[in-house]
Amino acid sequence: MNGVLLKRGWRDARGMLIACCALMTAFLWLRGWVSSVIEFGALVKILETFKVFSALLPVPIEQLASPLGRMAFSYEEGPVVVLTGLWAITRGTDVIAGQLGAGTMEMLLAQPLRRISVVASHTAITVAGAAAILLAAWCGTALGLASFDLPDEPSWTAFWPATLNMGALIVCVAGISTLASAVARTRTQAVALVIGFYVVQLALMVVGRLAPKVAWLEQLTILSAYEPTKLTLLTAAKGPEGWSLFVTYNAVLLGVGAACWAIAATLFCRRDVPAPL
Amino acid sequence: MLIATEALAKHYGAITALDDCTFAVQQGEILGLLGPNGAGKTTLLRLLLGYLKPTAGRAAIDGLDCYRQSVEVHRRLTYLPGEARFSRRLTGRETLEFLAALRRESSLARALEIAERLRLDLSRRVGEMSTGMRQKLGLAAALAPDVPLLVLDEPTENLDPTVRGDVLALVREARTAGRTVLFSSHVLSEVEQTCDRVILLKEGRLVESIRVADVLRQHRIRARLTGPLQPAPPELSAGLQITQQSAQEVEIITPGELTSLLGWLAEQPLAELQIEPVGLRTVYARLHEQEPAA
Repeated sequence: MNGVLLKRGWRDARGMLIACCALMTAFLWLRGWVSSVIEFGALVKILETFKVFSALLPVPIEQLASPLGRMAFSYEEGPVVVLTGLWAITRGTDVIAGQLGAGTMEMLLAQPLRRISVVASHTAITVAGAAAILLAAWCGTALGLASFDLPDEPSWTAFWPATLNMGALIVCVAGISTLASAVARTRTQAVALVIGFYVVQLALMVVGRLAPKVAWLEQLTILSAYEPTKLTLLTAAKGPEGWSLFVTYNAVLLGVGAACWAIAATLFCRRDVPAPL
Repeated sequence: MLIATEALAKHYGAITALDDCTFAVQQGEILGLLGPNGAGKTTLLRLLLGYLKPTAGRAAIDGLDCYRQSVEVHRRLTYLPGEARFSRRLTGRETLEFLAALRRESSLARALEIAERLRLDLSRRVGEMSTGMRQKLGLAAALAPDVPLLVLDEPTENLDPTVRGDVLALVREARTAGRTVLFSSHVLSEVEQTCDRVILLKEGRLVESIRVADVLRQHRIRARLTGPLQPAPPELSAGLQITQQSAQEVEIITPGELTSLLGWLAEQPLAELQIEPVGLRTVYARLHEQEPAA
């Protein structure tokens, strides 16, 4: 790792990181209000009429309708997924293909720097940013619970499994994006590879959940290890006994992310650095 | 030798970007790299920088393998690509500060001094700079570190004539300071003014290595005759290339000083006489079959 690159990387990333954190806090705070005003009993009745939809839910509908389930499910909703994906994919695809395409890598590597230190410094900022986003999410949840009244209001501390599972997902997606960045020539190619991978993963998960005959397909996707609602409810209900699933899911996500990073760094250290387009 | 390559080659599948390239550069020499587009100049420079893994052969700078010991090699050189690109969000000054902080051998004060000499506004963001301004910024960054080797890939591209002159002066100053310069350019007049030696590449092969002073000493004499050309005396004929183009027209290429030849020429039955220095343009055109050059 290189101190000068870390400082430079932080200056480049801070704008987007601050925006992601602010939006994450705001959304989860607002989600507290939504959870407090929506009549979930009625919603449950509506959902029960659509059996197909129920199969896609992470936990049974009655658990999802509980105050803890309602708030935990916000970690699986669009804005949270988009914000975490934005940070992970933007950072991951920038590290190699982004800088190669922009031509800045050429000047950077003309300095006496190891290629691995370029990747490591960039990754350190990405992981630190992921930690900041987690903190922002947890703060948003705590603020939402403090600002609005929910029946049987859960403690804000009950959401640590969801928060940490989200952090593991960011590490995983950022690792996959970095790997795409190491094999692609341009950032557009790298983003296309990651989006293609995500679509395939999502399709596997949906088909696996909807068709019991091919339920095993769900096990082929990393998305099956992102279960913030399930992990939060399980940990709250069983305490330390429910931690084994938490450890397994997060180990899968962190392991895939770390492996992708390691492969990306190896590929980058061995690949030719082409002239910028 | 500061730079030495041995049978260096780079292939991309069936495409040969560079093949069997062997040359050496001495400390303090300015070596020009000439060749048309696609001749392998940039590939050669990128192999020397360790950006590309050689398919065969070896390149070394100061005895260090350019690919395997690239970090140590980069401590001994600075590089300016054909089109310098930096983070668009930084100002010119921030860019120089960033690059100076990345290497111990660099001097921010020297970089700022060069930028001022090139009349570059460092308060502007890189994203708001013209291509020429970015090239000046690249020059300030590349010329500032106190390293033995400068690798400049078309450094005067996109610059106005005044600044071109300043750049060439800076390159010559680098040589005066004992630094070695590898200078790739399409502008033959600049290479003639600046370089000690030139290597010419064609279709990925090194086809000629010539000393610029030798080329500049050569002259081409074109004469129209009213009678037959008398043979040159033995003391003058060594190295003379005489080509009888027709019964009345002859072309003579001289290897060096012209003075001694003038007496013999005066005795010939001349109707017209034209004398011009050979220059790199002629050598380049001969090797590259009239490839257009500046």
